[in-house]
Amino acid sequence: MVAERKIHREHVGLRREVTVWGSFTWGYADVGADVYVALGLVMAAAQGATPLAFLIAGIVYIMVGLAYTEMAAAYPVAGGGHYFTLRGLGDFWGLVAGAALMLDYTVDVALFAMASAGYINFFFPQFREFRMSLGPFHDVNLIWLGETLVLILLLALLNIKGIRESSLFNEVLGALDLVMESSIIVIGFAFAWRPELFIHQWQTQFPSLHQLLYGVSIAVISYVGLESVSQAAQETIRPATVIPRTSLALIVIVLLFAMSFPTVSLGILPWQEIAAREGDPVARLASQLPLVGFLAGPAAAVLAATIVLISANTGVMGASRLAYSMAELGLIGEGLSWVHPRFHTPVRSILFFSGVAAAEAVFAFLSGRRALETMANMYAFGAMLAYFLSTIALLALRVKEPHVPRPYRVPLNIRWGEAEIPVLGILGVIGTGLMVLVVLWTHDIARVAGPAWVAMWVLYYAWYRKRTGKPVWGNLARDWDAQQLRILEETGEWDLLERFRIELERRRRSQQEA
Amino acid sequence: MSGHPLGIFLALFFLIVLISTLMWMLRVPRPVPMEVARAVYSVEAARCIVVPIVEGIYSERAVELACRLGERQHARLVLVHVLEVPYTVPLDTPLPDLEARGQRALETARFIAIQHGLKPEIRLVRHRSAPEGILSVARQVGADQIIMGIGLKRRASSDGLGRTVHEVMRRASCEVIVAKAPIVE
Repeated sequence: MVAERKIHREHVGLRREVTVWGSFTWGYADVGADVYVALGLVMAAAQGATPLAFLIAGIVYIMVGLAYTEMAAAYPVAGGGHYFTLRGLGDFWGLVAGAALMLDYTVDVALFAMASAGYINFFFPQFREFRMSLGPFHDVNLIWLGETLVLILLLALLNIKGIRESSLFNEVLGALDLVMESSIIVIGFAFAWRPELFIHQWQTQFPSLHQLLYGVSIAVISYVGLESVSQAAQETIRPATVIPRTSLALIVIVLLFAMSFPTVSLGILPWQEIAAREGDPVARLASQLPLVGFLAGPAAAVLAATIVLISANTGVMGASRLAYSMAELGLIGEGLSWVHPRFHTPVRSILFFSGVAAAEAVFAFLSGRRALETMANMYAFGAMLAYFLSTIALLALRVKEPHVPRPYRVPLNIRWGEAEIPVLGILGVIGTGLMVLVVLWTHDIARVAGPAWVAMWVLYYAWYRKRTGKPVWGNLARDWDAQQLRILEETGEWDLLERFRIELERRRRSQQEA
Repeated sequence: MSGHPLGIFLALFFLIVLISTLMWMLRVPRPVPMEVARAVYSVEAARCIVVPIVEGIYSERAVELACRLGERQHARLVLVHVLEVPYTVPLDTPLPDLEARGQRALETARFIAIQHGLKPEIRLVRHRSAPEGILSVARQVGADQIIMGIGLKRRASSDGLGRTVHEVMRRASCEVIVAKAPIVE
């Protein structure tokens, strides 16, 4: 029976259905929505220097993005940062990175499903204003909570049905959002932007260092999309060719939007007006535009509701694929990695983590007004910890596996023995390490809850590994080269496969000679 | 409702960067069929190429071919001239004229390789037999390919190949490429 199940698991894998546009929109959906939430929060902290906060976070993002591009193209499997970390640094650190990312994905689902429901309620103000007391909890909006839970359930069902359907969903809405966001920026710059207002705010409304750093630490949440691209790698068609293109395009486009939104905002409105509308800053901005201003409220609400919903969808997809990968690698129980024979999707992990996200949403609604900020805090902590470990993994993999073909390499390298060490990778480690410290320094909730979440996973990991007779601190024996050959065969990346075979043969010969 | 010139510039800049990035991303290169990949990388697999050198355009042409084959993957290029010492004399017998000619041929070959940005290793080897000398160097350096240039006018067996080429082809454990060119010296 066990053998049968094993054979079944080996033959039922994730389908490769995601196209180049699908891969791009998985990332863009995540990032586009982050700007809708982050703009108001960052502006409240960084004030007239908001573009600077986005720029500083963007510089770190470029270095992380290049690292992810290299690793996702070289190792196109589900798992993203946790897989790279495990392969580069070992099982324990892979678990830590996985826990950090799991936090991000479940928060992503809860936060953006909640935000989507909130934007839908733009058209139903009575739902938005509804409040009631529930035992010791006051001002609870049960209708909004109900809408949020329905959206989470819908997204879970969509993901269970299959990646083709949810990828198509992302592709259409991603394209629509790209056009609408671009229109706001272009019309804003061309017809309403006043450089003298922008300069005035920069000169007179510059924040303190602590405020600026807090703004930077919130701004980093705008750049979480690349992880989604990596997560979808195992379902992407020709990933070694497609992922470098979509990742590099995402780096450029996301940076472009992240810099443009605050720049255009500060040239049209005082920062206080954007900060006062943390819930719908883009709608406030759009309402000030000439020509389209009269439509701005409803249009921005529809736009925001769709984009944040696809970001929540990305979270469901990411959490379930991450759990699939962690279970496959022996970090958590195998029950979660079971793939449905008909739908070819990891059903149990989709349901489990959607449930976790729903629980977080309930907690957020019960905790009152600080719910949004709490979630943003947790989001930043998870992202930065995972990015920090992933950039270290980039360096470790360059040393440990120099023979693995890399369709894209992070530029500016220094030769060290057989390996080439990327200077930008080293800067990425320093940058993300500093960002982790900044998040812990400036976010009082993340400082406690973030490490507590990771500690909970570590305890579970230790219990699970001990119970199953696996080493807690050591690594499981894995034939990475054989796995890499299988990955390249499955993806149909024949040129990389041949290159890898040649490298393996060369290594075998040199070992024989030695 | 006229905009500021800087704002219009920023709007245009935004659009140009966005559209050009998307267009670049969507132009995905065509997939490489398995057979093509195998053929391409079997050639690119050559990381160490040995070229036997004698005086004459055939050897020089073989060096040129080796450079072109090895240029892309920065292959290690080993240029070897075997000084065949007759059995009648000791192996270390001074043969200044032959050594000088061999050295000249190697220098010419090195010049060709440097033109391609490669840094060749040159070896002047004394051996009783030319094919054995070539093969022993190939074994020492772990050659992936041996590239030999021959001409029509050389002393040949019935199939037009010389004794050295025959021996090397028969006994080499790596790939052997023979460039037989109808060039008159």
